[in-house]
This record gives sequence, structure tokens and C-alpha cells, in this order.
Amino acid sequence: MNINYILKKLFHSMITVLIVITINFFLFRVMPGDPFAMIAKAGNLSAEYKESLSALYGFDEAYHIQYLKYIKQLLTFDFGLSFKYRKPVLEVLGNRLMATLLLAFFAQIFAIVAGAVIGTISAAFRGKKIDVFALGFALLVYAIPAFWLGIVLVLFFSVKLGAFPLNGMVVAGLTHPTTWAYVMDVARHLFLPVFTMGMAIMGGYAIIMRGSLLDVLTEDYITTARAKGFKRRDIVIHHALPNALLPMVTVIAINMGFMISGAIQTETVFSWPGIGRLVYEALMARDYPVLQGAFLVISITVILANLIADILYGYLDPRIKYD
Amino acid sequence: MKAEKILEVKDLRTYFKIREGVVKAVDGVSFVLNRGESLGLVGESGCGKTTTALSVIKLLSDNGTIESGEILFKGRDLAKLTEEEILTHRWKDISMIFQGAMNSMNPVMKISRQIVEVIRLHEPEVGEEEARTRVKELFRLVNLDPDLMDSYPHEFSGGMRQRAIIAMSLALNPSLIIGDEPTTALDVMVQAQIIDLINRLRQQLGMSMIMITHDLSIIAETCDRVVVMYAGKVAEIGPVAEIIKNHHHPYTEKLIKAFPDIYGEREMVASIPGVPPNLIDPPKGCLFAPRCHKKIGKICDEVVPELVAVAGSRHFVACHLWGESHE
Repeated sequence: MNINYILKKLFHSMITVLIVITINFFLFRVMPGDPFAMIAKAGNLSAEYKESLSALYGFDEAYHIQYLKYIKQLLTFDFGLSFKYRKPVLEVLGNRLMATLLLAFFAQIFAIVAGAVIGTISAAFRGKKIDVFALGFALLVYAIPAFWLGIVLVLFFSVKLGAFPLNGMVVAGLTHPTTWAYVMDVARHLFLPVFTMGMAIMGGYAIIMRGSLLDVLTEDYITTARAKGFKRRDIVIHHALPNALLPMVTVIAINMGFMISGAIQTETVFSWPGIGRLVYEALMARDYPVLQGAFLVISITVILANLIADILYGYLDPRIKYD
Repeated sequence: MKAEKILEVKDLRTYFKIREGVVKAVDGVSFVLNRGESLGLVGESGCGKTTTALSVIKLLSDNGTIESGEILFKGRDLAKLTEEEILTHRWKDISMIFQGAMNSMNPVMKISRQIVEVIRLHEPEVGEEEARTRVKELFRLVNLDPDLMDSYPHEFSGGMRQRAIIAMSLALNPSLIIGDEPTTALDVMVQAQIIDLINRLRQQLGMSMIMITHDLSIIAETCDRVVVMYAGKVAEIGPVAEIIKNHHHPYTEKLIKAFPDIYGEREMVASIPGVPPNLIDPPKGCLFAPRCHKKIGKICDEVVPELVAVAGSRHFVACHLWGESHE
């Protein structure tokens, strides 16, 4: 691992961010629909009123001027004003992003651990009954849509058993006496959404882990490890797993993006105040500044996840070239 | 001179079960290896030479089993040991030299670590530092710079990697080393260096070796005796010089002709027409008969030839040309 490698990857990431910003800027200028009607919350606008709105939001200037202004704003973390909430976009995004990150983080941890364990067991007992069962289970959860699983879980655990809260991130209107009480309240609300989202991606992880491990197990160095007299279990854990984890890292990083943006299903079922739902609401309200901000934030999260994966890859695989 | 037998393989049969049936990869192979001796296993791809060698330490894939036969290593029958029991013999008693060109070393593990782990697996009382000191000595023994022991395999050249693999095979001072094509895919200069190294170590340490290769010139330079295999059976066994100059089996003759002779006249290298038989449902009689240019009649197609002594007791051949049935 060396610093040049990290700097180079960081530089690449920044270029990607710039490209995303550019696309993001033009995307909203070629999109159909009339944002002014939404801002004014009225259908028929007089020409003068439109013009004044246009001037207020800077739409009357040439595209390249708007573009430069946009970048200048971004550099000062000014994402503009939300049409709908009449508040700075960053403020609207901030809390929602944290809620989604919280959900995605724990769902990832759950999915990675469960997926890796199931995939490893499956590969280690290839062709045996336990493999058929584990692989079947992985395929089944892979095929289950998140919203369906979420609804079933809510019906069973929340409605019937009352074991978990129905929706939201905290009990509405409740003031928490201590920070600990707050954390516990969030944790109780977090359990079912995390499980739902975790299950939705866990199947994929298990299948990839199994395939990757089966590939590695046919490598020559596994024969070497056998010839050395290692037990099968030790070979799988110490010789095969470190190599088999490499493809997993890539998939986890790619998935991170899907989880941030694709959390809509889970967030809707559990009324989780996350960014997925925010995007949906903003789209319905044609709240362009929020959408634009959300897209950018989601893209940066994905790029960041890939950057971390790249660095992790360099650490896990000594063959990665530093120059 | 009474040589001490270190390994005696008796009528070994190793079969693989695949969807199409049972492949008789090794079908009735017997040979003896004496202490300090080097034995070559030679033959075409798929002739069973590697399976024979891997059977010795039961390093077969899941669908392969030793159906019958004995593998007497220092008098103990390894064929009868369970997986659990054989583990303690692997590397400690019988180690292997794999092909360096292949992924024989774990790419994400330092070379030092890969040698240390095997020392500490079989000798748990040895500490980390002591094991590392031994790795240094091993590196010196194979003419590698001990300062490079913490490199990863990809940081070494092909020749260096092969030396490291040889160093690893010597880590526990085993009684027998099996070389699985240790010089394949190296360029000729490096190949020569590795052969010199193996020969020096053999003399220095009195190593007993089994050398698997399809390259007769390697056998000629590193082995005392050679087993020529064809379709899972032994075609001919004898001292190397005897096999090369005075071979009796038509297959051995063809095999040797398939190598260019740099001293002889320039001529096209002769290939052996036809393909080896299907080992799921082998033809009865001599398995080489369909490709043989010296076939003597119906007997070749109907009767399996036995291994018989040719000149004294050191040279054996399985061919009706030399069998008693022919006389």
C-alpha cells in the first residue's frame, strides 16, 4: 500500500465527481415539465411573474454562465433552495441522508456477514445436501422483492406480535429523557428495515461468495495447501477465503450505490425518513434543486464507496499495481 | 548391494468416477523406490503419471479413489490410512515440488509466511522467529537472497519462484520429494539452473525423488531409473541409460523418437499416430496395440501383456514381443 496509489485513486474520483456535476446540471435543463408552475403552486402564470421567478433562480442567463455559477455555489456547499420546503437543499438532504446511511450501513453489515457465511458453507460442501439447501435459500431470498418481505414482516412482527414498531425512525412526538433511550428507540425502529434490506441483498452476496470460493478452490495453491497437510477447514478459511473475498469487495461497493438510491421500497414500507423517499417526493413535486442535490449526494456516496473499495483492494491483493 | 526400499507401490489402481462412467486412470501400477534414488515417471498427458504420484499421498480430487493396491512407505501402507491419518505424513515425510509457473504459491501471502506456516503446522513447538531463521537457511540453500523472503510470489521471476518452491519442499527435511513437472514452462537457461540445483541438493541431502515429467531429457539428467507409463499402466521400467539406449517397448521407442536429437541428422520429429485409448471402457489386450507399429498378431488385441524381466532384474517391459507367451 502506498500513498501515491491512494492519491491517484482520489484524483480519479474527483474527475468522476466533476463529470457527474456536469451531467447533473444539464440533465435538469433538458427535462420536460414546468417547474415555475410548481414554485408558484398555480397553473396559469403571467409572463412577468414567470420572468421574475426566472431571474430569482437565475434561469434567465446563458447556460455556460449558469453552469459556472452552479459550480461556484457547490464549492461553497450551497445547493440552492428547495421549491417545496423553501429551505436550503443541504438542510433538507442532511437528515435524510443520515437516516438512509444508517439503514444501509447496518443492512450491508448484516448482508455481508450472512452472505459470506452462507456462501462459504455452500462452497465448502459443494454438491452435498447442505449446499443444495443453502444455495436454494440464497436464490429464494434473492428473488423475494424487498417491499413484499417488508410488508410480511410488518404484518407479522409489528401488527400481530407487536414486537417492533410499525413505522418511522422514532416514536412520533416522544421526547427522549436520555441519549441512550433515543438510541434504543432508533434501534428498535431500525431492526425490521435493516433485516428487510439486508435479506434483499444477502442472497446475491451468498451466490457470489459461493462462486468465487469454488473458483479459488480449484487453484493450484489450494492443492499446495492440501499437500502441506492442512485440514480442509483450515484451507477454506486461511488459504481460499482471502482470495475469494476480492470479487466480494467490488460487488459490495457497487451495491452501496444501489442501496442509497434504491432504498425507496424499504423506506416506503417502513415510512423511513430516508433519501429514497425524499427523491420520490421531490420528483412528484418537481422540486428540481432537491433532486439535483440528492443525485449529487448519491453519486458522491457511490464514488466514495468505490474509492474505499479500490483502496481496500490494494490492501487485500498485493498484485495490484501502485504506479 | 542391498538397497533400502523407501517406497513400494504394489498393483495400485486409482479410479475416478465421472458422469460417463469410471475412469481407470491408474490400473495396476507397481514400482519400487530405494533410499537416495530418483525415479522418473514419464508418458503422454493423461497416461496416469501424475495420478500415480498424487495417489502416494492420497492427494486426489473428491471423485478419485484408490480402489486397490498397496503403497508401502517405510513399511507402512499409506493406502489404508484415513484422510485424518495421512495429514501428518504430508510434507513432513513426503513433500512436493510444484510447477512455479502455475499458481502454486498463494498470491496474497508472503513467501516467508507460506514456508513458516508449514513448519509450524507440523512442528508446533517451533516459534515464529525460529521458523523464520529456518526459512533464511532454506533460501541460502537454494541460492536465493534471504533478504527477499518477505516478497510476494508475483514479485519473483519464474526461476526465483521455482527455487522458492524447492526451498519450501525441503522445509521439513522429508524422506521423499515428488517433483510435479518442476521445470516446465521455464526458459532453457533457467531450466538448466533448476536441474543443476535439484541434482546438487540430491547429492548434498541424499534426497529420494519421484520426478513427473513428459520431457525425457529432464529424466535423463535427474533420474536413476525411469517408469514409462501408457494408459494407466507401466509399459517399461529400467535404469535411465538402459531405457534410452536399449528400450524394448514400441511405445518407449516412439516416445524417444518424438524428441529431436541435436547430434543426429536433421529430420522431422516423429509423432505417434492415433490417440490413447478411452480409459472408461479400455479395449482388451494391450492398450497400445491400436497405435503399435510392431504388432505381432491377435495376441496383442486379446491378451494384456505382463511386465517381464528383460536383462537381468533391473529392466522390465510389458510387451508380447518380450513376453513368455511369444517364445
